[in-house]
Amino acid sequence: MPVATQQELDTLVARRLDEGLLELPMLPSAMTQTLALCQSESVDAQTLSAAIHRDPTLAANVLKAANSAAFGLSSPCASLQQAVARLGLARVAELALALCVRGTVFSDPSCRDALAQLWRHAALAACTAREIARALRRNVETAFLCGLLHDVGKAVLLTNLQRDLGQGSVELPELAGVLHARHESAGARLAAAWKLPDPVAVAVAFHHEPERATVHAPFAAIACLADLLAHLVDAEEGAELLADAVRRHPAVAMLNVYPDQLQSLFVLATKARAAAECLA
Amino acid sequence: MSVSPEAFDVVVIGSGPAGQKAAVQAAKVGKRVCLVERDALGGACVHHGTIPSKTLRETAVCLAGIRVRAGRHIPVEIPPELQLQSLMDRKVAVVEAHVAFLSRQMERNGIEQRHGRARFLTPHVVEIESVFGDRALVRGSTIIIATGSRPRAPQGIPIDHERILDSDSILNLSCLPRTMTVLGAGVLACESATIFAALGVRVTIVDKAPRPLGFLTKSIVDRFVAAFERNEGCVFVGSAEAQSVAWNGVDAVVARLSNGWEARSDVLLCALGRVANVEGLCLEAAGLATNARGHIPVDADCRTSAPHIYAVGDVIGPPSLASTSMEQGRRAMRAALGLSRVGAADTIPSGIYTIPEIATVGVDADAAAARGTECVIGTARFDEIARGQISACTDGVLHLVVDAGTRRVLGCQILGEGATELVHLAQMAMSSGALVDSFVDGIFNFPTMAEAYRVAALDAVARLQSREFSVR
Ligand SMILES: Cc1cc2nc3c(=O)[nH]c(=O)nc-3n(C[C@H](O)[C@H](O)[C@H](O)COP(=O)(O)OP(=O)(O)OC[C@H]3O[C@@H](n4cnc5c(N)ncnc54)[C@H](O)[C@@H]3O)c2cc1C
Repeated sequence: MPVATQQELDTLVARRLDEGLLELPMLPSAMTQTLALCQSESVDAQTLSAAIHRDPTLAANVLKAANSAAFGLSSPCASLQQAVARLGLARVAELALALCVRGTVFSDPSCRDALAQLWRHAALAACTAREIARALRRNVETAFLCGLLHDVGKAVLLTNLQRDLGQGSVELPELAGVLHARHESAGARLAAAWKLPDPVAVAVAFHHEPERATVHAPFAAIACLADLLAHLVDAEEGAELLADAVRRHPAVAMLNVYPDQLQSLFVLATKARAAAECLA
Repeated sequence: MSVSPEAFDVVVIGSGPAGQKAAVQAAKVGKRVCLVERDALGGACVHHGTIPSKTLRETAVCLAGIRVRAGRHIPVEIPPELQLQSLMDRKVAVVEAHVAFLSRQMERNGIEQRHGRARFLTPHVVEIESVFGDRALVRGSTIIIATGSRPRAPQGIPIDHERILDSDSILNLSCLPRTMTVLGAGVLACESATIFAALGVRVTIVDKAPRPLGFLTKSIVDRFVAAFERNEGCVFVGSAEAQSVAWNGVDAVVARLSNGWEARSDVLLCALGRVANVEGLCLEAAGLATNARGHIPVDADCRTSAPHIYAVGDVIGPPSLASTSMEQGRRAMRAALGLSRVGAADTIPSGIYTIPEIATVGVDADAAAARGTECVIGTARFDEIARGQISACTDGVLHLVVDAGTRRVLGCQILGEGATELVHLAQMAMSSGALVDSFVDGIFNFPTMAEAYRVAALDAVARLQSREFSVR
């Protein structure tokens, strides 16, 4: 029997959002540094690995991800420096960033499974957004962050609700309605608190209706399309319906993606799965 | 069931500078016009090319200017983590304002805009596929192809738009790299190279020709190269080609050059020319074909081998400038409609927005000699001009080419800040048939860069006099 009706859930979420009671995770210092490093060209392997090593769990996870089979390395890396030498600075910084977000926002043990499911989607959307940006000549790194964080509001809301309702009281499907309705605003709060780059904040806030974004609308549209394609890649049933929805989506028109190009992007999204799995 | 196509007097494919001008020209004389655009209104010029690059350039010029004029007192350092986009703050506003202006202009002239990809079904019928895949047909008594161009992606250069970029993606970099290799030394290559150099990036230009910008007067190019190489860490490597380009997987893009050198840099810009956008147009359905360079061949009025189809702008090849594209659009439309064509093709200037700027109009000494015209060259160096000294724009020169017989101005070549504005004085002199003496007799504001004309004209007049003297 459900603990709370949809109405009650909505009231709980509304209270958190409207009365400033939304609990936001702290921006981890390793993330601030990695974000700065990602955006700077004058970073070397040593600085990056030092930044990552500030958080030993993060360092271990980055190494694990770097070694994961999908990167196709013949023998495993023993150190972060070596990982940088093999994968390149940008990829390692990106991994670190992603894993940092996972550790901070997607890891509350009381709703681990639901968060893990959200995380898998975030990782796939991130890798898909990167390929969309490449195809459309937009900034690739920014697009990755837009995809990674687009649904961060859902994780924030889920963790907050869990605190209100107690552990294990609700499952993701029951929460889907309220999370969907409110996650853009919750995400926008986090983006503001973390001072995320403007295009990323816009993508988080407007990825369901990118046409409402007044600035950086292309990044909102990229996050939107990445979100849709990632769902499509993962959809076991209803793929046809979803595919129709994607074909007619305003984001497709905003980015001027024609049907054949959309098909190629779908193929790229399928391929992005391997890269996304390393983050999961 | 076949749907009969909607009929228009004129169908224009592509809304860049060439297409816009053709559409407006036709609408002005009451024709029913349909303008088809697959992407955003305005074309490459507004969205990837001229406007964004010039917005970044403006910032670079200002920073460089402050450094030269007051750098000893006001340190101008660009923080390494600065986002490149922050240097183009005005870009979004400028692009939006321009698109809004274009859109109003199209509406005011009653031009019907269609958003979709166009392709020929027959010589008169064009199919438009919308972004959602819906199809519609239009029929044009006259059809204008103005589909522009895009960067060439040469075989063997793995452009990933992340570290190995083209001229469309270079402006979307997150931050300023420390080092950059530029392949190619044409207009776009040199513009980007000098903009990034002015922002403190160490740039290496590599080209197979011995000098960049091969179509320009040699003395102007030599000065340009010297100015470029005065930026710290910037070099031009001529007579060399990249044999392989690859990211080393860690921290550098490595280009192996035919002269045995290796160019390593944070990012590499591949600017080895542009290709015409013709694929997908189904030119063969209109009975048209491209030439060996991939351009659509046209006559002086931009008419293709099909009498009712014209091609204008970048799709017909060089000079590939927004200004000439507009003129071609207008000219083609006037020809199609049987209107008079006042031709002034040899007084269309070219502007190259390198730092420093370069502009030319008409002929230089070599071209005049090749035509068999005897001429003298009057020269002004910017360090001789008061305004040049005040603005610290001493790195420049103006050459005025004067017909030795008629004393008319035949051409002008300028290197230096403000060149692209200054050149219009020579252009007006040429189109009105003015004599060099008018620059000597006229009074210009003081101090201005325009004074360079007076100085160059005095030099030319002195040379004319000594010629007459020696002839006598
Ligand atoms: C980085 C850069 C800087 C530049 N700087 C300058 C400068 O400072 N000064 C200058 O004079 N010039 C400059 N240029 C050159 C100038 O931008 C071009 O010469 C000019 O845009 C060409 O105009 P166009 O109308 O021929 O083509 P474009 O501007 O390329 O427009 C063609 C349009 O046609 C559309 N199209 C193509 N195929 C189809 C189809 N099948 N159906 C429907 N629509 C289609 C395209 O989407 C595009 O919008 C620059 C170019 C670049 C890339």
